[in-house]
Formats: sequence, structure tokens, C-alpha cells
Amino acid sequence: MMFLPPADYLKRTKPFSFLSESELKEIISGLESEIYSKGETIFKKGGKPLEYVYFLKSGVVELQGNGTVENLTEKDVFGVASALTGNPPRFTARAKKDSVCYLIKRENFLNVFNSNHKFSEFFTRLMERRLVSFFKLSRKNSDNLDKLCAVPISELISRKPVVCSPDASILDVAEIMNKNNVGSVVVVDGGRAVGIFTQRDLTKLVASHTPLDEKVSKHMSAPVIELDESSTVMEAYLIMVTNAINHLVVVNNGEVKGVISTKDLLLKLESSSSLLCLSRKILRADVNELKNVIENVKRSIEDMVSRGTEFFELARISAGIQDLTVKRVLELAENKFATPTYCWLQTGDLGRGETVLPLKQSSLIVFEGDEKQIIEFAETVCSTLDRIGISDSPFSAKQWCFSLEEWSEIIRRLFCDPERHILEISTIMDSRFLKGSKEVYLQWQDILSRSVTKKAVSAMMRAALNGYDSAEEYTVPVSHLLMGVKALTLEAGIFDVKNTKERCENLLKMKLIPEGLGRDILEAYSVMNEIALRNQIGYPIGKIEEILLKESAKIVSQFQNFLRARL
Amino acid sequence: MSELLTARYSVIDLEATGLNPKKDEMVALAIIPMVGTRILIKDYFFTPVKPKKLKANSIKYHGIDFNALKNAPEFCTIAEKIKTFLDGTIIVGYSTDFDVQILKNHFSKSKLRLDLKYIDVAQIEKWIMRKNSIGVIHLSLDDLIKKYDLELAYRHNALADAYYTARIFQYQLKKLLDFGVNKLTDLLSIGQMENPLYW
Repeated sequence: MMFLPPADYLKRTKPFSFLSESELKEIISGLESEIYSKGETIFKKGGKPLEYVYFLKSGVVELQGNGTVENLTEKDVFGVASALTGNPPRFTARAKKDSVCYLIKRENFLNVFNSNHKFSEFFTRLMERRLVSFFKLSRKNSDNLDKLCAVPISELISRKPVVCSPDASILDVAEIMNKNNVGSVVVVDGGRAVGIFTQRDLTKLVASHTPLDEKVSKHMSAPVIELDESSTVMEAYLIMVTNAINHLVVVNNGEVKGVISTKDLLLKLESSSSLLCLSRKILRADVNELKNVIENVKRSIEDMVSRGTEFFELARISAGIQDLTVKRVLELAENKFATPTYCWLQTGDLGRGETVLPLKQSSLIVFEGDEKQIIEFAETVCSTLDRIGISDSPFSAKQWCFSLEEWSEIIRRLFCDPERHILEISTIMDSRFLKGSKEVYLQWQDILSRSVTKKAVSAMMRAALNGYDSAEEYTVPVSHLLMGVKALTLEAGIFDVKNTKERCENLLKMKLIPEGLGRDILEAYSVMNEIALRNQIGYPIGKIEEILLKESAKIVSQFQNFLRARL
Repeated sequence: MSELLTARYSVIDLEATGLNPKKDEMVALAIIPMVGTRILIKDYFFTPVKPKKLKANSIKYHGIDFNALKNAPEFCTIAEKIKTFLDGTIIVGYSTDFDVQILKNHFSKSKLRLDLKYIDVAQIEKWIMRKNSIGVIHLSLDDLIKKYDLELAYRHNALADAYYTARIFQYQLKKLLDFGVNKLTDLLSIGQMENPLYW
């Protein structure tokens, strides 16, 4: 095609960049350009069905619908729904500044819409608010990790599982391994996997002169982590990284179908595989090694961010690795200090398992007994974590280390004036047990859950409504969604679920939130976090991100209206 | 409704073998039709034209590949088609005087008569500057493109130049309407060269 500026412009602009040369020609052969003066109406809500799809070339256009106002800027496309359906437009479009639009004749647009799947998905996903998949679609060459997410693990199993009974002797099992040429055997009792025995276990037993006629059940790793064969490779990966394990047993309705090892995954995952090795290193590393490992972890996570791994998956990986690291540092410190009975909780973002980067501490300690010892212990752990690359924060166990009695008093005071202490309350509510005495944790949790008053919940809801009411603003605070979802969950008496995704799913299950809204919230929450994360590692906020943030902003204000109606 | 908004325009740009409208020949022609402020991109027309005397060194004027021109149609074979495009429209361009001279020469060689009314975006811009009490200076097409914030960098060729001229004219029409210009006769006198070039 001869060089025609609008053709060249569209070719470089999503979603027109998805079009083939002939499809682009089809668009051009229905293309016009019109100029609108400031204040001029382009089309009216409820008017004639649109004959054109509009592409804003320059200026600002305002869309006014049912109580909503949205400002469009360069490269925004509008009027698609009316042109597609032949229904009257659902909003009025007016030029807010002098504006120039490309107009694409409906027939030409439809022809391309019907012939190019990616092009049509771009619009339908946005209209159906499948924001996360829209974001994925809009990025260049979605990578192989994306595709892997969808591969069921059953595809990784290449042969029948090798099993033995718990009563088999170690020697029997060694023979089974040798005969079948495998590195691991699943120990099965009554059809169910009860443990796993690997070559490594065998080596250890031989080296320690353990009699080989002892039962395998005495030396197997148990319990095993099972995964349904319909689970995805991504799911297996997440479990292996966050639990730092080497083998997973794949089952179907409880029946053992096979074993997959990190090696199987390594072959599939290439560069994201480094986290598999790194997470296992953490289990035995000393402080210096940890520093090295964490540095590599950061790099691997950044790599996964730029390759477009979804937010909730990334968060799970990152939180899982931070958990392993904190546990290891606690272990190392416990050897040095005579600690009283205590428990360590991950709190805030980390408690919810929703932090990715930077790696930052968010924790608290509850203890019984000697104060001096535990405070020194907490300080050592926090500064060690800081030194290895998980930076200290105002909300770390260094500051938040109290006995049960003290906590009881602190919690009482916080909840006396929830409006004022909303940040602290909201953070503490997200605490999750990591290590130490479960009993102390349960007592603490009990004190906390008994303190949650109606007043506190409505203070949280009001916080979710604060300071945000404009759909124009691009920097939508994710915290409004977070706070609102948290408030609804606490109101429903759910205290043990911390993760926003899981909280949302619970609310949906209990029908405490309309289904459409609940799904939209999750999409918005995930996509806003993902954009922030990508921005943090250097990706600019482009047109696509702008569209998504705007769409998310609409969801936030819908959610706020929903909360407002409940207050 | 203002006559300016219902009128049909042909925004043109052409490339020639040189700078003398009496002697030099057309090698490419681009036309972008407009109705009022609406640019009908879909109906754009572009053609290379094979000159009678094909000089290899004239590429420095128009940048069109010698071989492309060898296979291009001669003007007489497409004259009718171009006439249909231009008939009943006002011709809009940059340095339109030169383009129209060349067109007239070619049409008369093809024994076709065409009454060409034309205007120049540079002249319209000068009129607008005077109205806005801004000192009048000469503006090149590049200056105008920058002034209307159309594009930072682009490739010069007949089609792109015609398109950007159309975009400039689109803005200018809006301004003329704001100044109360509604009659085509007024538009024609505003858009004429004050000192037409006589060759």
C-alpha cells in the first residue's frame, strides 16, 4: 500500500496492529476523518444506532451514560457496542476540546471484527471486563509461561506410577527402583498415597548403616502433597516453589496416577525454573548464602513480571519464598537465643500473600514469658532479614513484639477508636501464622476476632469510600478494593481467610456480593497490581495501561456505590 | 447550513519532473476528497504518471523510482478518471498555483477542458493570522503541519502531503466558520494567491 499516514498510524496502534495488510485495507476503505469543535455533540444516547466506530485521533471526548462520565483521549475507540449490536448508543459523546476522530464505517469494522479473532477479543474482553486476559492479549508475543499455565500436569507424566506398600522393606523398594529404573517410589496404602521414598532417602539410609529390612513407612517422606491431574503445570510449579519440595504425587479422585519431579518441570519451564532450585537452597542456607539467594530470587521474579505472569501467581511465589526465608532465619536465630514460647505472624500484604516486589518485612510476634530475650531475638531476626535483602519496615516484628497480655491491651485500645487506627487494625487483621507456637497464635486470634465490632467494620467500609470518586484519575488506589473486601469478609464473620482473591471467592460463595461485581473486583485488583508492578520495574504506563486503569476505576466506583448502599 | 460545510473539495498534491509548470511534467498525483470538514480517506486516489520525456536525473525532484514510472499509466489514459474526481469540486492544496498549472497543461494536451477553482492553505493561514492580528509570515507545509500538531516526522510523498494538507484544511474550515465565513465566493477569494506566479 502507498504510504498513507492514517494507515501507517493505525498499523502502529492496538488493536489495529493485530490486523493483516488486507484487513487494514478493509478498514481504510471505510475510513473518514471528522473534526469536532469543543462542546459539539458527536452522537446522542438513545439516538440512531451508529453507522461508524469512532477512533479518537486528537483532543478529548467525554462519554456520558447512566450517571457515569468518562473522558477519552488519543487512541481511544468508542461507539463499538452500538455499531456491533445495531442498538442505540448507551451514552452521549461530546467533544470536550476541539477533537479529530477517525470514523470507521460499521460494515468495514464488522468485516474485520468477524475475520480477526485477536482483534475482536480485544473489544469483547474489555466489554466483558476480562481485564487480566485483555492485558495479556495486548502485550507483545505472550510468552511460553503463559501457555504453560494452561497445560495440565497429566501431560508431564510419561509412565505408570511405581508404587510399593508401606510394609515393604527398604531392600524391596531398592529392587523396585532398580527394576523400573526410577528415582522415586510412591508408598500407597489402600489405593491412597501416604508417602514418597526417593533415591536420596535410600543413599542416606545406606550411609547411616540403617538395616535394610526396616519398613519403608518408617523412612519415607510423609505426608505427600497430592495434586489432581487436571491441575496445571503452573499450579505444580507454585506448590513446589513455595513448599521447597522435589516431588509431587499426581492423583485422579485420590488414585495415584504418577509422580512429577522438579526435573520434569525444569525441562518445561526454562528460566522461571531458577526459582525451583533457589527455593530449595533456602532450606539449608546460612545468612551469607541467603543474601545471595534472595538477590537471585529478586531477579527471577522481575523476569517473571516482565514476561507477564499473573499477579496472584507472582504474589504466591514471592510470599512463599519470603515465608521460607523468614522460617530459615528464625531457625538460625533460635539456635542462638533461648527464646520463650512465641509465634511469628506474617501480616499486612505479606499476611495476605499479596506482595511481590520489593521484598519487605511485615510481621509481628506474640509471646509468653521473658520479654528481654524475645526482643533481642526479634531485633536480630529483623536486621538479619534486612541485611539479606528483605528490608525492614515500620510494620515489622521489631516494633510489633508483645506478650499476649500486652496484645490484648493494644487490641482493645485500637478498637476503641477504629476510625483513627484503621491502618493498624486493617494490617493486623491480615496476620497469618508462620512459625512457633500454634497455641499462642490461636489465643491471639481469639482475642482479635472477639474485638471486631460493627463500628470497626463500618470504619473500614468508610475507609474504602474515602478520597476517591473521580473516574478520571488514573492512579486508582488498590487499597479501596482491598479495604472494602476485607470489611465485607469480617462482617460475614470470616476471620481465617486473608487473601483478597480467596476473600472475594468466599463472599461470592456466600452470595454476599453480586456475582458480576465480585468477578470484576478480582479482575481490577489483579490488573491494577500487575500494572503497578510492571511500572515499578520500568515499564511505562501506556495507552493500554491507561485503558485498563480507567476500566478498573469504574469498577472501584461501582464497588463503592455497593458499599455505600450497605452503610 | 454554511456553504462551506456542504461543498465538495479535492485536496491534491502532485510531483513533477521539475519546477517549471510550462515545461515540466506530472509524475504522481494524489487526491483526497472532502465534503465540508469530513475527509473521505476511504476514497483517496493516488497514481504515478508516466511522463512523455522520462529523465533519469529528475528523481531528485520527486523521489519516485525510475522503474516505477516506466510502468505507470500515461496521463491521457487516466485523464477522464481524474476529471470525474475533480469535477464540481474546489481544489485545495499547498502552492496550488503550480499544481493547477501543471494539471491544466496536461488536461489541455488530452483535449479535455476543465474549469478549475482552487485555493491554497498557505493563503488561508495568512488570512487567519491577519484576523487574529498575528504578524503574517510565510509558512511552509512543514511549518503548517507543525503548527497544527499533526505529526513530528513523516515521509514526503504526494499522498502523505495531500493527506496532511486535508487535515490542515479541516482545521482551517472550522476557524473560517468561527469568523463567520459562510459563502464559497468568500472562501475562494481568501484562498487565492495575492500575487499569482506568472511563468
